[in-house]
Amino acid sequence: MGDLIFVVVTVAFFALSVAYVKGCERIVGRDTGAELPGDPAADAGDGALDSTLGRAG
Amino acid sequence: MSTANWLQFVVLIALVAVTAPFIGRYMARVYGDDDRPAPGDRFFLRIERPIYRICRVDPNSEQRWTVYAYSVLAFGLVSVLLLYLQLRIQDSLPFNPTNVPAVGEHLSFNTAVSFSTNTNWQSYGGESTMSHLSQMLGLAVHNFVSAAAGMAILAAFIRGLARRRASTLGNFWVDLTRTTTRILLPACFVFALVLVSQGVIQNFHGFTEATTVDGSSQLIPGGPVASQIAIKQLGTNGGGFFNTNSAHPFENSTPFNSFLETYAIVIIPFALAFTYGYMVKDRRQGRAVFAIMAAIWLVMCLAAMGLETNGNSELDQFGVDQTATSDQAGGNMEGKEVRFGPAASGLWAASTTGTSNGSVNSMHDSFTPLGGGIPLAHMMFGEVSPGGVGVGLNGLLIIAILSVFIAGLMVGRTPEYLGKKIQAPEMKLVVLYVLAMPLVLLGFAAVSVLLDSALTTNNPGAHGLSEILYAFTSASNNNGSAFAGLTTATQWYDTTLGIAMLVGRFFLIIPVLAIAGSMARKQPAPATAGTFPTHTPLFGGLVVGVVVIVAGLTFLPALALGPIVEQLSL
Repeated sequence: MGDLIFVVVTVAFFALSVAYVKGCERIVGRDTGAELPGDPAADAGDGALDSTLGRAG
Repeated sequence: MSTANWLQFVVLIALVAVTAPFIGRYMARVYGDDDRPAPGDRFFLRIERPIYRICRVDPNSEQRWTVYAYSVLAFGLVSVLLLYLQLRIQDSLPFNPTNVPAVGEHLSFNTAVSFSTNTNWQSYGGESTMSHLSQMLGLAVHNFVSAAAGMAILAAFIRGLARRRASTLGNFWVDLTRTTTRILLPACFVFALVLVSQGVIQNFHGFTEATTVDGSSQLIPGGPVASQIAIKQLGTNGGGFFNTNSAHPFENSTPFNSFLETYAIVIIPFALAFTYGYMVKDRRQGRAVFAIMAAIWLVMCLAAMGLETNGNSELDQFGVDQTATSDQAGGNMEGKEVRFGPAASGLWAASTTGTSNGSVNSMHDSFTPLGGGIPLAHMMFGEVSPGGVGVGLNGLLIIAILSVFIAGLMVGRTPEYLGKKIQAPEMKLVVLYVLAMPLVLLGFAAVSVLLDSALTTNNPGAHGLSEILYAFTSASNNNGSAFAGLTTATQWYDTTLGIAMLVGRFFLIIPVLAIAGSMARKQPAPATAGTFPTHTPLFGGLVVGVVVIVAGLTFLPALALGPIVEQLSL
């Protein structure tokens, strides 16, 4: 019985954490994955940093 | 303090200052955001590729902040449950030469959470509770991966600050793997050998029966200690193989060994400041962060060393000689190892509580009231000086963002950090980050004081409050050191401290990743004459001020009722 209680407490905490992620996502604003509006100068001048972007998981 | 104490402290500072930039640069290449191959790629990729293949991880795939956070949570959940299961059935598993029984339910929960969150709070004595398999496969493995997870999250946070108009932060599984294989495992392999050379044991023995000089019998424990102590210190974990932790001669054999372990505790957190500078492509930022960490750490170390070296005025009336002579170290020697003395004990206490290490080479409960208040306050600062591996620098960067916001309010400008505007969403997340730890700490401490069943201390009054406060401060900051004096191996403390550790870990990581995700999308604006520079001594002073003021506003009433009033009553 004690084992079950502690497993439930653990799972419940991580379920709450998932809800916390969703709450923070509402604060930040959902990222649709669409290309974000950019600065043309930055696009031309500094590609190294942005070129590392891979496929979003 | 003696000349030897000063010399040891100065050499430690010099060693950290000289080596941290090189280690920081190496780690920046490991987490690198450029196309250059990292050092040792040919060797390490041979180890990592099979891991990715078995775990079905595409190392070229990147994650948005939410997916990164879900990965962290999934890893945390599986870590806790697996370790819980292992501890519950350890009596049926091999490598149990001392025939220890299965760990009880609430202690298994507490320990599983503790080691999975990099806290390493221990409500048990290692040599009498854990089998060798639990120590190696359970606790030591979690020492590695919990430290690696913290460093991975830092890498993601820095990418969020450095990238522009990006939607991803990296891949948690890749960061976790690379941290373990390229940083922690090689460093620990070398350090474990050094520890063995100093007398730290590494064997599979159970208890060895020995006859003492007065003819009585004593059981001397054995075990694979050096391999665990290496990651315990380098990963800022702190969980001891033995009950007396780093005061045990098999864990911390000589004063020189103690010096090396002190260096191991602080070096990676300090080096990560330089990693940050390299990754944001502005090394001045890294140096500024290093200076802020070092300033707070130096003050706290000197205070703890000085207070313990000065001794306890209460002992004078009993005729206790606290002066330093050729025969004794002097100062407050209660609860301290003669091999280390008060200065090295104070240095250790301040260094382990400035990081999330939590190991002890002396009993903090026996420090002078203000001397014991130093490790307590150092944790309450949020463990940012230099902080636990990864998570400490995360905390300091969050305070830096809060500082530019406050500076922006003072001069009436939109705050910026690294050229990116700090706006309402980031500030809401910063507030969530700042509030989580104090809420759980003060809330559980207050309830514990009110519950008769939770008052498991022999020290009433101010000192008893300090003990309860220390336990929840340690747990909610994922430190793990114990003040001692308070019996925490009870259902109440095992459960509530476990929950405090979970909140202190994951409820801080989530807003950090959310801020990283938000910052990564932004396009930095070019610096103008009105931009507040974040690499200057002025900004460093502001950040230190914010650290102290936030902690002071939150915890000063509790500290006043604990260590401060106790000191005044001497």
